[in-house]
Amino acid sequence: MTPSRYLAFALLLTVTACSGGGTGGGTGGGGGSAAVEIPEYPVVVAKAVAVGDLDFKIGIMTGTVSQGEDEYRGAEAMVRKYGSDKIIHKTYPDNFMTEQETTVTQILEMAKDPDVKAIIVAQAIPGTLPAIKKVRRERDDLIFLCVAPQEDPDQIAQYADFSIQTDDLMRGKTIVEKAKSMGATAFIHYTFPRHMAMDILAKRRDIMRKVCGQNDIEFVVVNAPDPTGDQGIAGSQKFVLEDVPRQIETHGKDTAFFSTNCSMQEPLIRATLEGGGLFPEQCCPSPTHGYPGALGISISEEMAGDMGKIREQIAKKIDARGFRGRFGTWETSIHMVMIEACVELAKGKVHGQLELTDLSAVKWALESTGGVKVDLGIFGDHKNFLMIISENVTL
Amino acid sequence: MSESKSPIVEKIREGVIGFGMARWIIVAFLFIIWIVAALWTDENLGKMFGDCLVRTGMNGVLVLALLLPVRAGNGLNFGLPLGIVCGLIGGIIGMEFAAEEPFGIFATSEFLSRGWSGFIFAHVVALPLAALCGLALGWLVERVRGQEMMVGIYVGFGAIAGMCVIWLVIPVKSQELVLPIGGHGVRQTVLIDDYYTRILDHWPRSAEEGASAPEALLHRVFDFGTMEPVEAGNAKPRTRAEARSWVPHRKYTGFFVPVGVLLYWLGMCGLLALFLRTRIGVAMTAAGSNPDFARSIGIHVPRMRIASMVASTMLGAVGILVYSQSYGFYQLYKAPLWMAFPTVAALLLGGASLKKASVFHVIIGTLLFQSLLTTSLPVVNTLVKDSAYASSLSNLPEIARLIIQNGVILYALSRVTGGRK
Amino acid sequence: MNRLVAFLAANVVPIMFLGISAAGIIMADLTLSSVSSDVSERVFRNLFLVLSLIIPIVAGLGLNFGIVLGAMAGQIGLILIQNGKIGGLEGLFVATAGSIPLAILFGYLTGLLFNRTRGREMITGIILGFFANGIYQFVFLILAGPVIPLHAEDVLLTKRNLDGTVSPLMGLRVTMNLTMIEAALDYPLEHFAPDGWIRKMSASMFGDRFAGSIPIRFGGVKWATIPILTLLTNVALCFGLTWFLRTKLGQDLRAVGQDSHVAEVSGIRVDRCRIIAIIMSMVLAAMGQIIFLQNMAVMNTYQSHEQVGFYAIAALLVGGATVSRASIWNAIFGTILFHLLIVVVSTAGSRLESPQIGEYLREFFAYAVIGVTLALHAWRSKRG
Repeated sequence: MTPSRYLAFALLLTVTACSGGGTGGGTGGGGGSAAVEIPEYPVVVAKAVAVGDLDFKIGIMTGTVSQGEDEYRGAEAMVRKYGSDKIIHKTYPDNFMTEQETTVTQILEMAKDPDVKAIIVAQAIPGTLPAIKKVRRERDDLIFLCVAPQEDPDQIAQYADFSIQTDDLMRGKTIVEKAKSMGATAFIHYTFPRHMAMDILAKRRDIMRKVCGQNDIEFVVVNAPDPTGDQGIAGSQKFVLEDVPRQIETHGKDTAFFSTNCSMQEPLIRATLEGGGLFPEQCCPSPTHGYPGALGISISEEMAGDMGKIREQIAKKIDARGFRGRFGTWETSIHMVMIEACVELAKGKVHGQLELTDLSAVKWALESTGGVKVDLGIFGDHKNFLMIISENVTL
Repeated sequence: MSESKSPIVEKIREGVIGFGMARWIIVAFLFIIWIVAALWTDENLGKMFGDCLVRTGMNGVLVLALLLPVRAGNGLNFGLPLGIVCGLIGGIIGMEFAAEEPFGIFATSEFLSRGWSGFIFAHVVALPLAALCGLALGWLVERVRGQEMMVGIYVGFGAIAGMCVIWLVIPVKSQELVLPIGGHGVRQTVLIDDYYTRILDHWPRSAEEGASAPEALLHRVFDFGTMEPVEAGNAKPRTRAEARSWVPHRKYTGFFVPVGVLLYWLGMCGLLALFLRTRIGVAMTAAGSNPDFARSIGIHVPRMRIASMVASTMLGAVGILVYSQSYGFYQLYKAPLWMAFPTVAALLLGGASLKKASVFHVIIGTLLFQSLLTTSLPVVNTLVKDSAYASSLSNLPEIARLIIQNGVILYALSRVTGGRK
Repeated sequence: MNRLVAFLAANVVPIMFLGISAAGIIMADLTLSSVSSDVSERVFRNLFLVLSLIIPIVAGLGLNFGIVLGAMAGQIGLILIQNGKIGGLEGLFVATAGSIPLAILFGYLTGLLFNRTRGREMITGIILGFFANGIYQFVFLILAGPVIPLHAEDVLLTKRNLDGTVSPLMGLRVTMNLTMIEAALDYPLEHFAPDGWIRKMSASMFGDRFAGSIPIRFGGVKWATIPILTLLTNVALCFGLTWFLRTKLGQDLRAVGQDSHVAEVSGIRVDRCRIIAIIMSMVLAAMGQIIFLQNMAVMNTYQSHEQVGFYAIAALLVGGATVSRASIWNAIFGTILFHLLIVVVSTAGSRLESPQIGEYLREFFAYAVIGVTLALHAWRSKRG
């Protein structure tokens, strides 16, 4: 998400802005293959499991804060909770694409400690797979849990014990449904050609269009300037700031706004609040994404990391403008929750209390640690590769 | 025949040849892109030219920073990131003064953080720091004669990597600077929207934007009827802070001239050109072009070379401030790691070599290189949009940049036959 | 006493970095066995690449940052076997054979360029690496597919069509899993059929678990794993280099490196010698990159080669080599010391402070190593 032109190339081919991981370079594309297919989830009831105490060590590898703060702080929180003798926190390099050797070494080093029984990689960037293979050569008792894998999904499902990522396709359905519940009559989808060349984002757009059709919502695709393009981020932000009032003028106040790009979230929220529109969810759903910057929320030392307090602050600011109930986001940063849940799952698995393919146990782990409601689906036919949707809260 | 040629024709002929083959090729290439854009895409050419000017002004000072080291015989200053880092420090320290308790010890000062005064304060902090760093770099480079460029590259890389640690531990308090979840350390990209975004680009402002009479008059002169005035909703200042801030939401619909930034850059170019004619300037050039001769007439050659590095580092600091105000962001951490390379390429594209460079080279090089980058990307993107291969083909401009940028540097390196044979 | 001072002065760089590593180990209280097995793994992966740098230094060309091109040649070899689905040791052999002609071509062109940029070979090499990267991307992102007839599904970027079929696109995949040659040199036996005669023979001689590497255990913990074939390859290269530098051609290269003017006068074709040195370096680098990647088992098609020169050079310099003087022992010792430093700094950094500070420190040290060594060398050669 660095707006540097040099990185544009790397971004384009790999993580790319907001697809939240996605499926690495390759076939792209999530579960569905035929025309517009709206994903379906099985009904899962959470089932509490006594996972026991952490009487072994867990390794967590995340990016640095300049890569993305959520995962880093999530791991930090685990270190605070269990102590640095129980949780080993490591980071992968910022330019992980060229320095896979470092990623591999960091994982191997955690695996060297015989007390380490589980390793959580968030996000599972390229380099994770060879590391897992190398570790497996020496130890097969070690559990690997991958958050938001960016490696080939078939391979990662084969080698890692457990993978979980946000379901961007499913969000196509849930975001529109959220907008509907807020009373939307029109839905504006900001994007640009580079994003639409990405399979998963294009598919989500098609799903959104279909669900909008089913719900009598007018679906409008607006092309914004590409932030990596000639006008830079500033240009695309400017465009959003100017376009939102226009759209509200044409489609009325009950217009929901959505953008596929991270850097557009702040101006989009700001302009929507100004014009009185609807904003069901960001591209990467988390209270800390876009809202603090757009609303000027000061994050004090004691508030840092407390999602409930941050949400409260956001709601207060929105209330001050009289637009309560017209904005939404996920309850918390889902990547942080995933890391914490993975720790619980690792405890349960090591103690033989649960199976990682047991959806009801996973659901319990996520809901009990994050205090959030989630829905789970399975990626393709890989029982250990789960897709997740969290409940959207209205602010 | 030749004696019948008029002096004007002869002058033009000389000028055309003097401009150099490489530059004519780039110019021709640019024209091809523009013609393609005009015929086969619905890109707004006028706006595209305006964007080229913005990008030129944005990068101009950074390119200018390379001039003096070349003239003083230090070669291409790949240590430019050192200056850039100083500029970023200045910018961040300035912005911190908008916080309730800057660094936990100072008092809030809107004056030091926002608007023109804020932009100048960023310079005030950055320049002495850059002078010190430049002095150290110059001292080092003077001791590693023959390997200046290699050492420069690694000093630049090291400065960026070292600063990553500093950014993490710097005790900023401003909510707009601090990392949102952890609550300490500086963010990776810092938005300068309400501080001085495009303060140079959008000068002179119109009367509606609150400009004084002379400024508004200037605005009218340079308004080609293509700038939409600020929409009412955006212009109304709500707080004192916002009243001081710069309103960036101006829209261009056609050709425009970013007067302020070009003036700032060309002004510096002019000053530097004047400096090169002064006694010290001439001495500096002499130290570079013929050190033995320079020594014999009493010029302290090492001192000249160190001075050139100091000036270069300071200009690098100013350069990143100008760049960022136009970009709308300070990019920290690893973002400036590669910045020296396109900058060097621009200078060389302008016709400079490892030993010779002039202000003219800076101006032409920046204009050509940045125009090339600015126009090729959108044009290629529109052209390949509907192709099945769009996701691969849209990388073409980036690949072309890699090849052109480094090809130009390679060409310059191979042109001077160095060493003994 | 004087000899001690002289020894210290001559080896100031390795001593300095050894000191930093030792301090890191003590301060962060690292387990020696874990550090040593980390380091040994990295050494076997990287040593060949570091050794490929020696010949150009002997021939007076300085640090060959151009080995990025050699690494590219190696990767092209791997792309070929990936496309042709040739695995195991045989795959490694084909990849090497395929990359050598390319490496020779790249080396020849680089040599020509270096002959034009005398005294600035290093910076030229750096920029050449970036430049070649542009060409490489053009060839494999744009030309591969429509122009270059690669066909394998796991090589090209693909697109899933609406009817569920998969059609190839333009350009190669961003990451390739080299499963077919995974650790083919480190664990060669894994690539033979489980009931084939080779596996049976080795099982009867060394036991079932032996696959080509021997773990070194000491006091109940593993200190290192020795991949036999990789070790042999490296040893062979060391002897090969020593032998080569004693041949007539090797002596000529040495003469060119010492004083190209004198060499020219005494009838050595200097330009030709320099080109030969670069070609050899490129060929070795191609093989080195193949060894590196068979161990990693994954290739970032467009970026794996970018940092090759940078890390190999840092390693060589830490070993006490300079721009004009390098020995096999510098390479071996340097590879060990550099990777020790990297492992220690990043681990110690994360133990003492926050993990990400360790990460940035690691990078800072890698840059500082090269910067400081270059500066020291230039400084010394100026005074001397």
